[in-house]
Amino acid sequence: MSVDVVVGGLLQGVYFLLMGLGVVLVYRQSGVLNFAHGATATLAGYIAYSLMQLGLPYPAAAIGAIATGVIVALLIELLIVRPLAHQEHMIIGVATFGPGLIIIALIGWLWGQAPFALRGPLPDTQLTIGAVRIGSNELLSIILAFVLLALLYWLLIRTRFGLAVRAVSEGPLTADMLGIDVPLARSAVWAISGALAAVAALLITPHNVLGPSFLTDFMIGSFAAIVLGGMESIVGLAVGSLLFGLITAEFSYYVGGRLQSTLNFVLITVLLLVLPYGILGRRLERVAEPRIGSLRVSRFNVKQMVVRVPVDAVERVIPRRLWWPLTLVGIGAILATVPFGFGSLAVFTVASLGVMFIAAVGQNLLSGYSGQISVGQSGFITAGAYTFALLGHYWQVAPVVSVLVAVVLSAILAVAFGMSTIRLSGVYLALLTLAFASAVPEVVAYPQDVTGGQLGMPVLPGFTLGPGLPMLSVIYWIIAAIALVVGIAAHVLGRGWFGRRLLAVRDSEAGAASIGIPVALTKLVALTLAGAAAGLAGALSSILVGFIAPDSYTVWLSVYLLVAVVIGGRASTVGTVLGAIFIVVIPVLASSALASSTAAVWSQGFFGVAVLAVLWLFPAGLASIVRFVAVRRSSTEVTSKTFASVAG
Amino acid sequence: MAVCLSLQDIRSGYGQVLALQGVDLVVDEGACVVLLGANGAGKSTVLRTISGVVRPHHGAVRFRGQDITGRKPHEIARLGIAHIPEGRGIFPGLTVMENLRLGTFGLAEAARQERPSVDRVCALFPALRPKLNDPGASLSGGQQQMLAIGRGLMSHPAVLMLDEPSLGLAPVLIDQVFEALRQIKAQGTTLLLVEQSARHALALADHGYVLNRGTVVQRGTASELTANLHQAYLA
Repeated sequence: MSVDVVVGGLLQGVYFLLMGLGVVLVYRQSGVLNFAHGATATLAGYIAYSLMQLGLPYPAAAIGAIATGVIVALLIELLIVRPLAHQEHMIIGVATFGPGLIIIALIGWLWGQAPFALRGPLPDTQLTIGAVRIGSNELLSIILAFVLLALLYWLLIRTRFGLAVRAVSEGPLTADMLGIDVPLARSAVWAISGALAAVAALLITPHNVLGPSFLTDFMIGSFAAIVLGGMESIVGLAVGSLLFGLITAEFSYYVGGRLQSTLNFVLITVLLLVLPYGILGRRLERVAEPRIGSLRVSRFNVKQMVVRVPVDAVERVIPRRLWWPLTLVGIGAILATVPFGFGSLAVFTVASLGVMFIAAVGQNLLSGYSGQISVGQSGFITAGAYTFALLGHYWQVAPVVSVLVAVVLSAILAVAFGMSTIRLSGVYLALLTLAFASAVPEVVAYPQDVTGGQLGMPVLPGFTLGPGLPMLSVIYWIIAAIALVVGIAAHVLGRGWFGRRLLAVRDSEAGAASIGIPVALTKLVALTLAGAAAGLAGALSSILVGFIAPDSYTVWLSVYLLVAVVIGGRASTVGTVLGAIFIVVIPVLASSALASSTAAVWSQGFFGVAVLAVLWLFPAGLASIVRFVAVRRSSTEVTSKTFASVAG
Repeated sequence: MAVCLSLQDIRSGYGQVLALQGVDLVVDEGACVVLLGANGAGKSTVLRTISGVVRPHHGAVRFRGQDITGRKPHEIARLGIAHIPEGRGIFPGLTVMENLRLGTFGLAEAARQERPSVDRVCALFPALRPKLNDPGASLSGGQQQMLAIGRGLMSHPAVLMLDEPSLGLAPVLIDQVFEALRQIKAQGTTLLLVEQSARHALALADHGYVLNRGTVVQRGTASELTANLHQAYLA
């Protein structure tokens, strides 16, 4: 093993550590995984670059960058985390994607997409220490990383401020009652995290590049290192980062970098099987506090609209037993006529909506009902799509069979994934699904001769049509019909005994187990159904698009699906429809409303704004906007039904 | 005797639910007042309204003549009103010592007297001394209650409010806790106590209030209430 490889690995580990410090600090304190941390760092890096372009000396530029990081982090805390403080950490985590996307868009708009080279704090020279050759800035990074680590450790463990911060993380209400200014302590932690983001940008980017999304991607890569050490411990972070840096360096030296994400995934899975909280992490214990704060409503929230439905009057016109069939026939009829009234772009968009809806139904079972946070559904979608494509391409298998095989294979993959992750909870599961979603595209690209590698491969529908039948319309009808069936099945399943079991597991695993619900099995079934739905969506999507590549379904798609569930309204079928519409239509709207040159840059930013707006105004999701109340002649409210009633 | 704490026509509650429907209450300086009543009578809400955890819709809370209605919990804690919540509020991941140190965050001058205050608490509850470096989660229920009271005393508060200190404790431990409260009272700290164990509480208290469904249904000296104890609970 060569010295250079070891040094390179350690250096990479140090960069993971620098990126992870701010993430772990905020997570430890508030339980929120701040997905905007990388974007905050990037903005700080660009500010430093521009200040130096203006002729300012390096220290001034660095101070400007740190100030930027602090301000951005404080804004995120003030505008997003605080208004949503009474929400679940999952929702706050999803919300931080908003500012992340907005910042990336802002950078693209102000500085363009082309990456810059940010210079390091020191003049670049090569130093030789014994057998080790290392650049001056790299050496400085290593030293600074450990100085910062020690400082942070001292601050948290040894000072009164650190004691207050730890108290706030375990019991905010109790800390408040003891005389600790909780909002101030929280803001202080976010400010420190923002400063750490800026320092990370100043040290990491000179060794790499300064691009709009580079540090966000780097942050997602560093999650593996963070999980390895344990999310709750900053010492664990150091151990995990260095270990992970070394392992990946050795691996890419001897095996090559093409399976890097796959290695990450396998490594974390195996480690978490043995140590479910990483090397030095532990279950965060909290003070049992009365949920008084949860009843407080944010000042942004819009009041729910209540629609009173005179049930008796409706029943006199249409008998009750016909309500469901008529509703379904109505929806079916509207869906069927779409290809006649609209152009092919609209038909394609609605068909994509159907595909997204199927995947979102699975995501809702998994995250909305059973409370398992996954950002890995794109992995199952990719698996389903490639299964369909390969079966049709090499063996000319009938499309119906191919779709079924794709569904079954994705489900089996989900079972395998679930068997090794079922002990995990919260952020550990979420980060493992993220690693999974990053690994699958690498695996499908690896056998280049078979799958076409990064270039992808064409997908044939596998059936031919008589003359005069437009292919797109037929594919649309197939997708619409399947989406309708999936929607009905999910609704029935969710409202029945299985849905109640999932909700029980979501709200209290211990409580569910105590009344005889097999918790692990229930979670595994939810994961399997979600995997099957994703596989189905992948197969249908590949037919619709006619082409697949490893990057057709990225991690961002997984994030969008989770957003669909949160935005629509958890554990709600109507919410899933609205959420799917949201994630398909908002980007389309954005790109058609904006000039084409800026569309690509701003569409994600627009999406981020929309996510934040919905979460501010309707934190229980779009489905909670309207509440239908059945009114009977006796004028007492006999049944009241909310679209999101189960979402609480 | 000077009035320490007073509540005037307090209406308070959670969301749409009004837990207190016009409560008047007076606690004299150095006195011990006990709130009695069935579950859901609003006893805990009285303490939460005083300490700012719940904001009243109507009425005024006064501390030594100063209107403190609607202030935030940490601001009220810094005035010298310590609230030991139901369930004790021990930080499970912090050591016993750290839990005690958190008691000094209410007052800046208390921070400078950390060591003597810890010694004072350990003198009151000797069981805590060997546990100082253990995590809060490792304590038994009785030790947690002692730690909670000790933490409340760390800032030398003017008023100590306790929410059911006897909850879930063995009889011998209840006696210990009340003995400690007796000593605290003897040192001049004003006590406001919510308690189900009425006999213990009335033995310690000077005055008492009986709450039912958010209103005061009976008030009087401890001896008067002791005589009517059955009536109070069967009403």
